[in-house]
Amino acid sequence: MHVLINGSQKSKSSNSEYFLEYISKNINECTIFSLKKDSYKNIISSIKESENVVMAFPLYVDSPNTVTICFLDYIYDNNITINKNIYVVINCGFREGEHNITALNIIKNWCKKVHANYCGAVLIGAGEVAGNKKYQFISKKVFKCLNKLSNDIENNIVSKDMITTVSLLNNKLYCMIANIS
Amino acid sequence: MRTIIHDLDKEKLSKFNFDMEDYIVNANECKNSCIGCFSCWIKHSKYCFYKDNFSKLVDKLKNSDELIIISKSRYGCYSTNIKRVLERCLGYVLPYFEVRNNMIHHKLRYKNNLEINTFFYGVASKEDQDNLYSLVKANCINLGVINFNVNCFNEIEEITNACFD
Repeated sequence: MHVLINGSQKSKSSNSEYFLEYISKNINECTIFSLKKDSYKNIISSIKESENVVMAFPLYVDSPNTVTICFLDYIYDNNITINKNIYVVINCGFREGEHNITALNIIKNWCKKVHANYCGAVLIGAGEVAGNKKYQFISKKVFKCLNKLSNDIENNIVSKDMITTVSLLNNKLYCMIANIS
Repeated sequence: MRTIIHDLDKEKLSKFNFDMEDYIVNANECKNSCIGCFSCWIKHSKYCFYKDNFSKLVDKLKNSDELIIISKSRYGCYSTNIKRVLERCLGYVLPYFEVRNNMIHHKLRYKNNLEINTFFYGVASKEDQDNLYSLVKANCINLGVINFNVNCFNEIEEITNACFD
């Protein structure tokens, strides 16, 4: 069983949820939890019975959002050992996926401290575009990375750190379109 | 004017002699977290829609020449309480994008010379320290801040009044 954790603070549909739902269709037996709606106790007891954990969250102030950090703190402060494989999906509004690297390093450091086994990530740029069904035609690269991550989760193997974003747009064009909308 | 955002308890805070003019923000009192509604960008223009002592913090930052952040760090990140306050300040920049340093960033709302000096305690490893530097640097690029400092300490007692001169 795999535990998928949505760290978004949005109560309605979020990009993190959208990416996790996509992964859930490519793997067997998984449960999606929301850090905003579900109790930590339920999530942690499911993690203990699981093989792999996938954490998805948005980038805020170049780091994981507060909702996600609260969960990291809860595990660390209560000396809960998470000796599981951890896979990560981070998305940001900027076009370049590279903006997510500092947030990923925080997760990597946390993994070491709670004895979790960090196993790879997809760092997504232009999350608002890639997370919108209408723009699937320019988000193929993003979903290719999510496919690779899903496969590795399903096979319990170490994946890679993949940095990805939407195609067809360059930086200037992305700014122009985003500023109009 | 200086704005000081900290996550210290009363006893620890009392050891510092900040100036009378300093605007001191106790992050431990911030109970409302950003919910990602982007009201600060779309509806309320720069102010957070939660009405509390933190909703208009962007005005204080605008009028400051120095922002001091004193934060606990566990895994190379700000403490949760400090992070919560920083997320409530999204309105300090504009929702629009522009290319700066070859990467996309938010357009700046203000053209001021804010300097950011950070003091982290509880920093145990070199990796945490390296990431704190990358994190603060990334924040500063996003906020259009040129001058910044990242100071890491193992124990909170190592941060003294002399640090802020």
